[in-house]
Amino acid sequence: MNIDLTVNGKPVSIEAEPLDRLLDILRDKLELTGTKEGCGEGECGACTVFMNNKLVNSCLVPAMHLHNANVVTIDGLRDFDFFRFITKAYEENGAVQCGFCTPGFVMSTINLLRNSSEKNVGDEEIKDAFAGNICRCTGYDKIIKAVRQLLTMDIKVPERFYE
Amino acid sequence: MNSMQYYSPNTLDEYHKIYSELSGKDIIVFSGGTDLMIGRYDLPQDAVIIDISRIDELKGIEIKEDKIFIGSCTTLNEILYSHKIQNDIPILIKAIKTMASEQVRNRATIGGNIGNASPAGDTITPLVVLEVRVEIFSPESNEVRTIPIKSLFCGPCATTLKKGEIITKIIIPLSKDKDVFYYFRKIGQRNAMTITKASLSAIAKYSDGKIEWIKLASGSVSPVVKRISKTEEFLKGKVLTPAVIDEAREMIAKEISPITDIRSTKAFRLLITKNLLGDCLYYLIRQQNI
Amino acid sequence: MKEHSEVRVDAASKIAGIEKYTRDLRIKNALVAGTVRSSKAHARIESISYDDNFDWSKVTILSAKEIKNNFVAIIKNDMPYLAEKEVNYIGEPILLLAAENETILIEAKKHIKIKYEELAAAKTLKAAIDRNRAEDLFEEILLENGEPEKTFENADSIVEDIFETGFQEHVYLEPQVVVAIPDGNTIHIKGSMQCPYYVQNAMNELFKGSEIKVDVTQIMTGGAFGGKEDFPSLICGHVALLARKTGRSIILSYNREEDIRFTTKRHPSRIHAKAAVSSDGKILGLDMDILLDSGAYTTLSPVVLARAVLTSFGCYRIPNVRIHGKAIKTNISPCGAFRGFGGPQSLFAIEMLMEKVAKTLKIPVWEIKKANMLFLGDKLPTGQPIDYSYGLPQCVKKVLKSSEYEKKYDEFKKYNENESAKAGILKGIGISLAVHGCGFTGVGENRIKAIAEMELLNDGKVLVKTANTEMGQGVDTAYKIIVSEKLGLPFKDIIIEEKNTSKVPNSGPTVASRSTMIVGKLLLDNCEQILDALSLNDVEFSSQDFKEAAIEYFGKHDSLVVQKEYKHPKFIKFNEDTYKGYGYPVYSWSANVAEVEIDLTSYQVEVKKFYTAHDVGKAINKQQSEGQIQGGVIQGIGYAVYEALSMEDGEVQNRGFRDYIIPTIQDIPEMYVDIVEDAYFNGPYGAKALGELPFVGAAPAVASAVSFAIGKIARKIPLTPEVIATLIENSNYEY
Repeated sequence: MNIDLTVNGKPVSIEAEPLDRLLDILRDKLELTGTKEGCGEGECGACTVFMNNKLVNSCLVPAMHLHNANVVTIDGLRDFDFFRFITKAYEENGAVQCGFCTPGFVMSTINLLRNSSEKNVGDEEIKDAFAGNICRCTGYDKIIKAVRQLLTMDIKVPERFYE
Repeated sequence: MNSMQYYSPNTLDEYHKIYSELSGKDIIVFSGGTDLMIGRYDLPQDAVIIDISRIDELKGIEIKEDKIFIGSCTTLNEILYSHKIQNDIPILIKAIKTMASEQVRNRATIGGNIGNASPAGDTITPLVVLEVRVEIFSPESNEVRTIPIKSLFCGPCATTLKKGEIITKIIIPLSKDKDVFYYFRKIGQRNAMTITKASLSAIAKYSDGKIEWIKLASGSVSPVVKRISKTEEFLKGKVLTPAVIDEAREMIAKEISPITDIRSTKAFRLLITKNLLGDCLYYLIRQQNI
Repeated sequence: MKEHSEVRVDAASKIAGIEKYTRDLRIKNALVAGTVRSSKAHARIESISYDDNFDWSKVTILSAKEIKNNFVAIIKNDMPYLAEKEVNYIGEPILLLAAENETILIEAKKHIKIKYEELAAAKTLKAAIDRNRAEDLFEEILLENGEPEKTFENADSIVEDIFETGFQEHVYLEPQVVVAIPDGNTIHIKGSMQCPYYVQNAMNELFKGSEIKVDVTQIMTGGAFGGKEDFPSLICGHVALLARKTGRSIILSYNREEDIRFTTKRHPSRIHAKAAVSSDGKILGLDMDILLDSGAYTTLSPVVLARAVLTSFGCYRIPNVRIHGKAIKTNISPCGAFRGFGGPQSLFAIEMLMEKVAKTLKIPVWEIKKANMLFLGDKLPTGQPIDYSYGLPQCVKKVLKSSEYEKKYDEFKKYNENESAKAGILKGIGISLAVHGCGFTGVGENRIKAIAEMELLNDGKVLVKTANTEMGQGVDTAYKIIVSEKLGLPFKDIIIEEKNTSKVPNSGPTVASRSTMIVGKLLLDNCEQILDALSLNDVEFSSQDFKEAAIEYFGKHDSLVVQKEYKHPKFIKFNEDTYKGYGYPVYSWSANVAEVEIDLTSYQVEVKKFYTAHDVGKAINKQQSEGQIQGGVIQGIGYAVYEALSMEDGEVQNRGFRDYIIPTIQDIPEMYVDIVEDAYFNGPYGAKALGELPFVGAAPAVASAVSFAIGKIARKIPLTPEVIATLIENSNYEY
């Protein structure tokens, strides 16, 4: 089937089977390899992207759901202004080790930052926000510190991307 | 993937038409796909996929009179963030909060969770104690009917839905009783992203130190989620003393039939189901004393 | 050396998703590979048949018959790349397939039928023990010291128990993946791996006698933990063989299910431990029978067993010992390297034996541990004196202070007596002392003769050449710090050479927590060599001076490449027959306190707080050292509480992250990390091992806390709720 969608603000048209995964379309067809595959069953969050402005596991999204969809990946976000604050916070807090889970954590971080402007985000909310991201290297502590630091800063994260 | 035939109706009417033209073929009804995508290589390659996620009639939350209607393709997060549900059906919120992750809840639908008919489906036990009805669309007759949720299930991951039938709505009766107590707790293998080993949903009315009525449903401990009716009956009109609670714990153990699988053992599931009931009843007492 | 908490050199690229892992490489014109595996635990292969109705022209099939040197070179070379006549475990590779895409492979597999004649199999360690066959013994080690027999005869009391630990899967976030790219007679191998030279050596053996040459490049590796130490040699052979056969590039990428079911695991252990104890709680003698379930092939089991034996006495002064270790073959997927490497198993046993001693003598467990803890200058049962770099006493001091262990010990006791029934919670606090021998065991380092190389470039930059790989632990950044500190150069002037066997010397594998201590020291020596050549040694100089000296040097010379080979200091000797001498050149130490709560409804153990102090000699990068410690602790908590690999009838039942449970962000304790720096004279700036130690002490601390909470010895991990329920309820159902 032919599918027209927007990826990182660019219209793309792809040929795919109905149950092909968004993850493979991004990585293999569009060469957007910032999105990783850790488990292929929606458990680890390494493949996290925004689809129609909602955080999803791209390994669980079939091609047939992509028609007219707006998909935003880490590859489309790294050049936004707010991203450098995230980079800095992750760097300074030592939140990265092997890095394979990191793009997924960053996506969840962005989601939390844009949804939390007026909410009181405590540790419980942070832990809820990252329940779907697995990291085996860091023990999470430094990721939480980075996120806490970001939440204290006045970072403008748009409510929507490429819309 | 091999080329699979696929349809994406926009209305139930279209669904009916497509179905009529497919006479006899195997059909896979696809909504959020969070389970189906994992097993996509195991799907029969000659089956036809009908993606119902674009049917608007199947989406959204509505209150009409004394009922809440949730479209079957409403995502778990849409329910979780719905003020209506937060206000009126807190037990469902409590259950959904324990389910999967933000990412998955944005995709997984309530109809999918029910339609999978897994004894571990976490929305099922609250819906069973809420005595919801399920609206079903039959493409054969092009009509809808509603059934009580308990008659939807006929075995682990098996429903009474006939071929092509889809769940369209979940209809939750709004209780007139205002001081209703509710309880949901699930026990999994860890705190987040966990599949249930055993769970318990309860709603109850407690007055004058006695249980006026209680509705109980256990998850993951019987082939289908069902009401724990003998224990409910036993508790009715009782003052919750330690002896009564102990007796109720023993009763619930007789009403369930857990199995051993990769996530836990039969014996453990029996034990924690008893504990859950104890936890629930002691919680009820504490709530009353506040 | 000043304190460093440098930002990792690879952090920004990883955060932005720019860093290229193996699957992110665009390999042109590549075929994908798949593996046809045994469905039997032990069987003779009778026949393999291919369905005539399937279009086989789209698939390349490779079988054992086509492999001349069909063994994965590692220690005993007993594991074939593909089974030919006999299979020894469920999942053993029998055939390799290559095709244009995954879908063809999945279809093709359905059209291959393998007929087996089943043979007797030992699918559990118990079955292998009961069968008691000499040929099942991969390795046996006996370490004796003093007069163990007499000590046990005369002891006031003997305390014993059997301690058991389970399988553990590494769960690196990036599954196994390797590629082979043919290029004339050369095959370039790239992949996610720890040890490019292990792979190189294996490929040299595989293609011995042919004109095929192989070079190996490690690509940024998304976690490894030992899981990419020995295992990649097998799959690199697979892709290399397919590349040779097809003339095409080959990608072999395991999905998570394949990875969980068929790659190496941590060795399960069964340890019968016995202590001869004086009435005042002194451990006079230790007798241990250590059994490691090794799976179907030897892999690294002999070395894993060696470390288990040499860790078995923990941090205690025990004059009389008899430690008897066996690595036993079973018909399950081979076990291999995993962070801690045998140490976690025997350290769990000794620490829990201490619990049992305490309980038996009715003395608080910390009193027992304190009374038996090594003093500086004491000798280990191997005869090795602990007379330098012994920071354990400081670790203990710090952790007792930060955790308020002694105060909470009493508080929690009272809580459990008075309040827990009402609250539905039991509280526990536990303490563990842990040790990790730094670097290779025994004579390993002398055998490998690690070489590091450094090159001065004509613009005054230096090129660092080692085979030590970045898999998340931060080695690249650590090396830059070490070199930068010595040469006064900024990070940008220190270039880490690609980990390609044709470009870097064999500085040994990235294992055994040796990269900083051993290879980092070689780099420091390389720096000295360069400074000598530039006549900058023993003088103060600025980075500008260095640059000018370099330019001056290149005015007279064409190049400056320096090399250094590692040798242990002369007094560090080890006898492999008696297991006497220096098992390790030095040890890293930790003291750990865990606070747990056990929910009496769910029987879940929740680790609420974890305090640890680690003596690592010198933390080259403070922040990353903390990160290693926190990550290792959480992996250890997983080992202690969550991670249960379900093995049924010789087959791994777990299929993915849904049923192999590791800690999520919601399962972690508050963590308090202290670092102690008791310098090691032969490490760079005093540094010794770090990577594995955090794992080693975690599980015993948690099990100690659980034992406290329930009043019974937690003698078996993982302490899943099912196990806890049995311990608490004392019911007779089996878990």
